[in-house]
Amino acid sequence: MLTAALYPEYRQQAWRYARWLTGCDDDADEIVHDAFCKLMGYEKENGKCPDPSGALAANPVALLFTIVRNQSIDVLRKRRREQVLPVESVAEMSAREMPVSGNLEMRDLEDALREGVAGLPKAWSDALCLRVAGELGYDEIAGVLGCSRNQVRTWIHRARKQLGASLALRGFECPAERTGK
Amino acid sequence: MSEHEMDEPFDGNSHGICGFDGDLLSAWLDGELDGNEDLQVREHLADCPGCSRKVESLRYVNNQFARVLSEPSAIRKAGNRLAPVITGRSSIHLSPSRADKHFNTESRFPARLLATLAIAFVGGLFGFLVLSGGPRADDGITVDSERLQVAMTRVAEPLGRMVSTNDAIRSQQAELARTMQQELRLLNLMVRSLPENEESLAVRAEIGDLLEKARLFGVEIRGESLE
Repeated sequence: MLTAALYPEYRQQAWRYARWLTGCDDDADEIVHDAFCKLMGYEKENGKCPDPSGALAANPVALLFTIVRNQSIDVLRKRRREQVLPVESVAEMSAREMPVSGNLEMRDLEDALREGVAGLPKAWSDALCLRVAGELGYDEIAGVLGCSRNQVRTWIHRARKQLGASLALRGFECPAERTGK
Repeated sequence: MSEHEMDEPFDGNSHGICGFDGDLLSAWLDGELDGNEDLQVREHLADCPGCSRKVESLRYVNNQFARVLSEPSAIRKAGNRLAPVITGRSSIHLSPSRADKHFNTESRFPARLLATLAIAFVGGLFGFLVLSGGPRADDGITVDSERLQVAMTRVAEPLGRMVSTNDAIRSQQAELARTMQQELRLLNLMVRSLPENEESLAVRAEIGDLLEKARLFGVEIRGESLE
């Protein structure tokens, strides 16, 4: 069972990736469960999936993270549509959708990171988030984004460099850069 | 991925002042270089303080990202309870499960039964009074409106508490049902995928019981029929 092999190894990474993209534990739970359900469904149908190239057999990890990514985007779109909320649900929502980090310094850091990532070209931020939050290798990222390994390498490097500059502007400067050593 | 995204303008290039390819530094940090490239980067870093600083800077970004992602509130095991089932390990033991704990029929039935009996009693009393033409004193007890009011209050007050308790339980169950929906769907799929052997029979039976119990409590599995 292919999905059974993927589940223990990638469920936490997929969850972290979905959590980073949606900023919500509950959504991440649902997205990861749905993604594995979909994979199992594809597997049950002998690897038939919407991708005619047979993505499940060729690169199952890439397919898993593609599903997670697409579903996260759907969740974000849906959330944007439902932004007008009744007053009583605001408290519940804010408690449920707390940022990943709890303490104030971390909240600032997370805000700075999210702002920096949002300012990156989409391909760069996708590659970086898959690498850092999803902990995928360059080949797997290339599979998810449909590009070459070299492009992934370049995008990740540029993303890190620009994000470093963005963090520095928000007061999170690398000590080595600050001291010039 | 569109072409223009790949050629997005970037203020600066991937090569440092020394001319070394910066992309290699990131890939080296990620452990994505082969032996030759790895050696090349190590040798260069030993001689180039600028690139060493750049590596530190890249590492810093990574570490900050990792710090945010690994904050305690973010560390949660996603679907750990299902891990032994989905991986097909033999030592699967599903009970007492979370579902058993929350959907414990024994603990819910007395409250429901009492509430039903109380409603039936009040209804019956009203029916009796209507059919018999009102309170009478020839049945061995004195029935007047004040006494009737007291009796009704004595029944209605605890009944109100029971109903509100049941409402709370129902609301709690609805919430639990919502959160369990995904896991039940996954279980339903998994039970079909288990291998046909002796070990999996017990597991299959336990999952079947679990799904059946969930169905008894009105937790439907959308788009799937129960095994």
